[in-house]
Amino acid sequence: MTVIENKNARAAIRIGVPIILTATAVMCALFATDGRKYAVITVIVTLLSLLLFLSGFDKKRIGSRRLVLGAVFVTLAVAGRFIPQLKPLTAVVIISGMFTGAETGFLVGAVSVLISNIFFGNGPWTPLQMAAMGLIGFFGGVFSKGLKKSKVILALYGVACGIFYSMFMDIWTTCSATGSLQLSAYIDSVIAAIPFTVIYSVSNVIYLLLLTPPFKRKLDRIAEKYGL
Amino acid sequence: MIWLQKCNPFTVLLYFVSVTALAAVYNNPYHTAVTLAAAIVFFILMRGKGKAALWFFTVFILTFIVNPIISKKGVTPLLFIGDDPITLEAVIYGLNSASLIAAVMFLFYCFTELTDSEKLLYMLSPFSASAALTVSAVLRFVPLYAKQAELISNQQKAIGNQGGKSIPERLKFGGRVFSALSTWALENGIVAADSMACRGYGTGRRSFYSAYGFKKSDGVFLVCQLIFIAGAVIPSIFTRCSYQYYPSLDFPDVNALFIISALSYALLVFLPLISEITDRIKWKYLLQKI
Repeated sequence: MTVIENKNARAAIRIGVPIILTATAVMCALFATDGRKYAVITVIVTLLSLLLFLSGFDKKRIGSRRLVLGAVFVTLAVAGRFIPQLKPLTAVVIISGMFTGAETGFLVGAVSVLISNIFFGNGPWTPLQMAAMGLIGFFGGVFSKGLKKSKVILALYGVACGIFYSMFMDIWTTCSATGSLQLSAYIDSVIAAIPFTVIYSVSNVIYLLLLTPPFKRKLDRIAEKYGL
Repeated sequence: MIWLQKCNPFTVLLYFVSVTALAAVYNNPYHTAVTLAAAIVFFILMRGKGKAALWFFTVFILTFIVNPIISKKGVTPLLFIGDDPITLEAVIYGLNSASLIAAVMFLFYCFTELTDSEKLLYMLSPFSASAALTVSAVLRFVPLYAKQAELISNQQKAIGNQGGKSIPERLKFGGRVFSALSTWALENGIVAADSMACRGYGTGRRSFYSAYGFKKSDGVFLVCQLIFIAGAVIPSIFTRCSYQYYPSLDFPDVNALFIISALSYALLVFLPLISEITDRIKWKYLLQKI
C-alpha cells in the first residue's frame, strides 16, 4: 500500500472518505428508489459510521496493554458465543467496557461480533450487530462507576442491553422482511421477538452477576501485580 | 473461484457490496434472478458445504411463506384463510424477497470463504490499526486458548478434580477451567503487551505492511466494475427500473434505458465468472499444448 506521508492528509482521507461515501450512498438510494429501500440505507450508513468511529478511535492513544486486554476479552466473548441461546457475549462485552474503558468496550463489542460471525455466518446484518454490541460495550464504560458500585444497577443495565439489542436488530428484521420500516410492522416484530428478548435479558443478568465478581478479582490482582 | 482469490480484497469487497446493494435497491425479479443464479454458480464453484445450502434453503422457504400470511396488501386475492385474503402480489413479493435473501446468503458465504484473516486485516488496517491488531491478536488467541484449556482440564483431572457425568458437576468443572483459563489469559495478555511495548509498539510512526498489492488486473476489474455500476445506476435516474408489487404488479417499461441498466447489472454480476471461465479454458488449452 502506498503510504501518504502528510499526517493531515491521512486524517482527512480517513475521516472524509466515509462521510462522502455515506452521503453518496444515501443520495443514490433516495433517487433510485424514491427513498423506500430502508434495508440497504440502514446497512450502508451503519457500516460507514462504524468505519468513522474506528478511524476516530485510532487517533486516541490507548496503550498496548489495554488493547491486548481488549483482544483477550474478545476471545473469551467469542468462545462464550458457542453456548446456544444463553450467550455470555454481551456480559463479557459489558465487563470489558467497565474495566478497560468506553472506547475499548466499543472495540471489544464490534470486533467480537465480527469474529464470531465468521463462525456463525456473516451477512448484511453484521454491521448492525457490530454497532449494537459496540454501543453496549461503550456505555458499559461510560456508566462504569455506577455499574461497579451496585449490583442492582448492573442487573438493570443487563436487562436494558437485552431489550436494546433485540429492538435494534428488529429494525433490520422489519426492513429486510417487508422492505420498509412501518411502525406497525416494527411493533409486530418487537412483540414476536419478546421470548428472545426475555432470554437475552435474563441471561445477561445471570452472566453479569456470575462473571463480574471473579473478573473484578482477577483484574485487581493483575493491577496489583503489574501496576496498571 | 481461484480468480477472485487472487484479486485485491478491496475490489472483491466492492463487487459483493455493489451486487447485493443494487439487487436490494431495484428489488426487481429480473435482478433477483440474475443474482441468485450467479450466487448458486459461485457456491458450486467454491465447493460450498451442503449443510449451509440446506440452511439457506430453509430460510428461503420460511421467508417465502411468512410474507403472504402477514401482508394484507395487494388487489388480486388467490384464496381466503378465514377472512384474510392471500394475494397474488404478496406471494410474488414473498418469492422475490426470499430469493433475494437466499442469494445474499450464498454470496456472503462465498465472500467469507474468500476472505481469510490476512485479507480481513488488510481491509481493516487503513481505517483502524488498533482494530486490525485486535482482530489479529484474537485469531492467534483462539487456538492458543483452546490448547491451554485442554492443558488446564488435564491438570485438574490429574489432581483429582475429575468432572462427573451429571450436568451440575460438568458445569462446575467447566466453570473451574474457564476461571483458570481467564486468569492465565489476562496475565498472558499483559505480558504480551509489555513485550510489544519493549519492541517499540506505539512509540514511533506507524508504517504499513501489506501482502496485497494493486495489480494491473485489479485495476481492470475495478474500472469494469465502476463502468457497469454507473451503467446500472445512471439510467435508473431517468427511467423506473424497480418493480412495483403493491397495490398491483407492474414491471417497469422495457425501453432502451432499462435494457442498458439491466444488461450492465448482468455484466457486473457475471464479471468474475467470465474471467474465471476464460482462465480455466486458457489453462486447459495450455495443458493440451504440453
